[in-house]
Amino acid sequence: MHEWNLREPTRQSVLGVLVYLLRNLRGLISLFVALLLIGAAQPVIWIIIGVALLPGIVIVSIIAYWQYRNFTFHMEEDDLIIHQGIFFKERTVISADRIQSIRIAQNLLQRLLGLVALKVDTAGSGGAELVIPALERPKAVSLKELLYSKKEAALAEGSAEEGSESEGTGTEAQGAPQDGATVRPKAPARILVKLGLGDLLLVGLTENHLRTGFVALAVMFGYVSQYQEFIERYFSDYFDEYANELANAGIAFALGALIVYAVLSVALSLIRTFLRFFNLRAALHSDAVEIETGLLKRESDRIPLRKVQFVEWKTNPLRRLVGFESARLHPSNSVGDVSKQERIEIPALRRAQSGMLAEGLFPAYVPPRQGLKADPAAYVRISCIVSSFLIVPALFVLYSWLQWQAAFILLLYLPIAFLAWMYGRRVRLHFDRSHILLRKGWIFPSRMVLPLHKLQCVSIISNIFLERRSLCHLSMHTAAGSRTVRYMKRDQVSELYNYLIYCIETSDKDWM
Amino acid sequence: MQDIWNNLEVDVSALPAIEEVHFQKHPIRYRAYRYTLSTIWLGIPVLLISALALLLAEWWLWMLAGAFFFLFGFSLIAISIGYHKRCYALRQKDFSYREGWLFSSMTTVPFNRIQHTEVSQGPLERKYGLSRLHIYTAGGSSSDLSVPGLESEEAAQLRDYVARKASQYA
Repeated sequence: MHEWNLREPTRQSVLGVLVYLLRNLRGLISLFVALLLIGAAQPVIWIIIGVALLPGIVIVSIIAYWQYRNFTFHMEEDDLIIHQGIFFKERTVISADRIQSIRIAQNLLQRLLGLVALKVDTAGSGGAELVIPALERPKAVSLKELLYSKKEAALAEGSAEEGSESEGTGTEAQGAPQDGATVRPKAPARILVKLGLGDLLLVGLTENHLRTGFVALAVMFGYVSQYQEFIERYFSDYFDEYANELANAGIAFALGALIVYAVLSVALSLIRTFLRFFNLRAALHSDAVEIETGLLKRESDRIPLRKVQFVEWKTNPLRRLVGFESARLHPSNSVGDVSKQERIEIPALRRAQSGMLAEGLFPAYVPPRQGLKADPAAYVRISCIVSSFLIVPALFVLYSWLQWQAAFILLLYLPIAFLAWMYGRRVRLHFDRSHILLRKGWIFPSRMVLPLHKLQCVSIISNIFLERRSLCHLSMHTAAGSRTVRYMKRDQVSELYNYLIYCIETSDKDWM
Repeated sequence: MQDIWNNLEVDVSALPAIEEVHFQKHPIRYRAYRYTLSTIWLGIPVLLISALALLLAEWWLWMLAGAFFFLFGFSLIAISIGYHKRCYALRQKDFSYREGWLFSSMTTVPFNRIQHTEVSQGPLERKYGLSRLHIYTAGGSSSDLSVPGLESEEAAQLRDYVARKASQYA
């Protein structure tokens, strides 16, 4: 352990000045780009930028230095105390037992400087997160361990029956309450996934490229629309001038764009995968899943097993071909922003590894066989009704153009109905005394495992049309969000509903 | 750990069924309260827009007034039918609530999953002597239960009962 006096207020690494500097500069970049766009047409702006640049940088640097200077942290008993702020000073106190999770993260700059950020999630509304942005790695690690051990000691003091956590193997490490000084007990961790380059490439190539493309387009439009006003003002003349040529080139352009779009989507998927999942390592401890991932921005996450409310496995045809599926852990909301981001996705699991993950998370889990089916005809009906909102107007528009041939658009209902039927046929809700297994989907099959004691409450949702066909939806609410199974037989759902309530009420296990 | 998943044989059909529970309706004042609310938000705008349409003689204002009138009429029907669909039930270990005519739902919250309970009252609700009971779980807003239109004393009693039950598990 690092020799390190934490009783005194301590500053971060001096290099932290640079971290702050860059963070402040990043805020100015948008402003800078906007100015440049105006400047392209008005030379006066160039002069203003030139004059303002030097003092601007000096001021930003001074601010960065003071941000560094005024940021101190130290431990008082079981509390982590952080002072920060230049004009508005802030003092934050976090008691160790309120800490939910601690993560070590690293972005590109921090990586170049050899620093890491320590992120502390606390329990409380919204799960406020606290960041110490510039620490040397050994210090960050030792502070993390110290906080964890203090937390455990505080919890052990608080309640004696904390040992009821689910442990698959290696119970010997969970002993008497730890003293604040010692390192957190390490039960033998099992490596779950270690993503090599080849696997990473496979994951990237089998991404859902369509989605990547859409997301990229959305981001691009979002970014462009920021400066749309400027673009329109200064470039609309050119657009008008070449309008004819543009129209002629339109079709060729559209075709070309489609190809470019496809190629870019695949490339983006690859890049995104590499950035997010480079050298991904997931380990299964007796009480937590630890995931470390990222190329430029390296983050390590530790999700306590008891926080995980349910797990979803998803795959697509390409991925199934190479034998991979991705798993997504859903921890309860109090963990803070972890649940909102997709960081807790493990993208490439083989069958055996999936089994290992399931077994580690839910020790008593055996895939339940008893199950309810959904009504596929209801899926066909609803998707035809929903798509009519597009198809019927399209029919009218096309009719004025193509006359009776427009009716061919009605053929669209066939594939829609077919897909809906296949989807609906695969919806299965399996359950036993301890778990729910929900299977869905045909092209993009997914399955979800939810331990019954994680359920908060259940509802039956219906409407008058469904009631006439004696169908309904079943909604299951957990602390990590809700999942609804649609178009099931009313009498079967009623029975299951009573059973689920019975299971929640007789369960002696805590949901968290 | 073994006994948890070997313990399979529960006769599902013999479990206490929520359908057989006697559900309690809201006091009839609640319907009057909903009528009043609907009159304020939809009925009065019909009059105002019609008056404006008379003054300005614009055709689209008449259309708007018509739309509001239709909505107003529909909401009155929905309220009177919905009133009879809306009911709650208290059991030893859970609280259930059923509502909705066109879109209906039934939710059951077990007491051992309740985080906290709350009674609130708006100004119009106070006029009618009604209160609203909120039951919060850790499941977030999608699973929190809000039961409007309870007699104020009854709402307080319910809250106390539910809170007492819930605290047994905390």
